[in-house]
Amino acid sequence: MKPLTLVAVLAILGSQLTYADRLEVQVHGLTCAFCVDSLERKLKAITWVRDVRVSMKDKTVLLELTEGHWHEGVLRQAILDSGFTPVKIEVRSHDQGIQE
Amino acid sequence: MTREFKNSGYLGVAVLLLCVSAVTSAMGLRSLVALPVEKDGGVVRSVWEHQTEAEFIRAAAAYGFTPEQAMFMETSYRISPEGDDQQGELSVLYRHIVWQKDRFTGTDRAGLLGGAVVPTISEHEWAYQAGGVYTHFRERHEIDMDALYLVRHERFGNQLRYDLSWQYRLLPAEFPDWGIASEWRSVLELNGRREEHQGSSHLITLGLQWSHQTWVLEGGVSQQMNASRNPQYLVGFRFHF
Repeated sequence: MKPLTLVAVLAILGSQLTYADRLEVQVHGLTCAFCVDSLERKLKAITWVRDVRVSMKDKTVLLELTEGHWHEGVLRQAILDSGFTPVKIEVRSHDQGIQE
Repeated sequence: MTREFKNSGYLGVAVLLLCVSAVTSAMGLRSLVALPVEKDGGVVRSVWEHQTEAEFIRAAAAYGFTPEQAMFMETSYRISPEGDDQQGELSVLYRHIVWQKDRFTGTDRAGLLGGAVVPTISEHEWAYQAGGVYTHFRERHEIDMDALYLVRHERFGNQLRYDLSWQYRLLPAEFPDWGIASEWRSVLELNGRREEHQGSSHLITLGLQWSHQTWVLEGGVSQQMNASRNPQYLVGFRFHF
């Protein structure tokens, strides 16, 4: 790959990376404990995801990110590959902690 | 290849599936094709079944190529009584989810099924099967239905198979705010077949499923609806990998 092409590709990729330390994703189609297993595995396999917590009650997934950068396309595809539908992604800060 | 060798080979596959064995999720006790299978994900299920005059082990496996496309394999082995034809047929099915509507409260999915029944002993013949599957999941209720039409050798005649199941989440009544709770589900299932040369048979099953994140333990009691036979019992285990 020519250097200019490489720079262009990196620039495009970089433009799709966004900064956050926590994401809250609403997922439709979550129905049972078994289903959640596949979703958790797919999300934990993403390099920039440090931890995954699932709320079956609110059909929400909370992602802790490793270094703050995340890619919406990768996240949505992982959820689709699990067989579910990503609906809404919201960026959260650590101040907006979850209630245990 | 001798029949004995073939038999022991298929038994080996069944035992291997049993060793790895388990599956997960809602879905009836007697049909696997409604199972959600993610891309590169797999599920194995083994079931011990006691009938009035025989005992069987059934082994099944599913693998997802994509979220929409999955392959299902199922076979059985008669533990007793011993005899020449202990190895059951091997059913291979491909499922393509053609429509899916996910909601906050559940999901609806429809898929097409196609595949073959592979002969496992010389007396068996190839058969080809096609059909459909539909899942309706809402809140604590899941309804799965599937039907398959088998084109078989004229000696056996064609066959229509169906399975209709309703699962209800008994516990927890409400999910915890965070984390995955194990679930207890009741299962009411009606399945059967209509065979060209042998008429029809229908089986009703009442069961329980104890579902965890990666495995499910399930069991039930079945009764033939058009024959005065003793109840049948089955216990199964499913595992997600």
